[in-house]
Amino acid sequence: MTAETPQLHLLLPAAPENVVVARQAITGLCEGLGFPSRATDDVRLAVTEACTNVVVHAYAPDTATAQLEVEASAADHELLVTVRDQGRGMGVFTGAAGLGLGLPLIAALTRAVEMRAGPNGVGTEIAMTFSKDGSEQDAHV
Amino acid sequence: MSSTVQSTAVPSRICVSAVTAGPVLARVFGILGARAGLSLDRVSDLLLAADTIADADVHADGMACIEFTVVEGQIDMVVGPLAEGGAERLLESPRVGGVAVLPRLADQVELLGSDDGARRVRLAFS
Repeated sequence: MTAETPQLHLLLPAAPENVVVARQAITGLCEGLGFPSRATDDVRLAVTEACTNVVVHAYAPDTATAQLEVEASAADHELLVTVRDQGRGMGVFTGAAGLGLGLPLIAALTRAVEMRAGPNGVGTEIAMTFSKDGSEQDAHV
Repeated sequence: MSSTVQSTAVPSRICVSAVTAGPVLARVFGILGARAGLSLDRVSDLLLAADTIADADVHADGMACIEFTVVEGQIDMVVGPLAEGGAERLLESPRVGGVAVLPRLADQVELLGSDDGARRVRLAFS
């Protein structure tokens, strides 16, 4: 399996109840790939934060087409997880209050992280790289 | 137990490499069963169905794909696209005590065709 072929692809309505679906799916993938429990915990928490960001911030309320997309690919000793939306994009103030800890937390849990516009400039995607062995992290947002 | 009715325009779909499908589908099916408010026995049946689907060598391009809908008391899922002959094999094997597993577990089973020529299997659990 190459990095170009996702080993997991999830497409879900961007709704709170689907964050746990993504969380369970990525946890199962880590188990299937033989990740140690600590590394699995890091992946699970970071993906949960990224999916929660999509649900809370990406779309205007009551957007019928609001979607949450998760892709994951494993290569060597790394797992690349991309969480994507087709929402309003970065820099739009949503009015949804939060502690502002989500992205710093993701940065702390990943080996590398990049936040960028989605395909064709639509929405936002956050690409997170995790080490299977939980090696030293050098992530920046 | 409360459940959620999904009524958005976005489908719910999961595709996972057949190699790692077992633990992924088991966890996802479990949470869907809980969300639908199914009994513990039926959630156990769902987990067995997840294992059966994950273990079956029937998936097109090595990816187990499932589209699902959760409503109060019921989960509908469409498994596929499947490899040629895969739909029939999925429903006929494995057999336990001479009985095929998935038709015994699911409340409804239906073979579906599609525009892309690949066959799919619809299963409903309630």
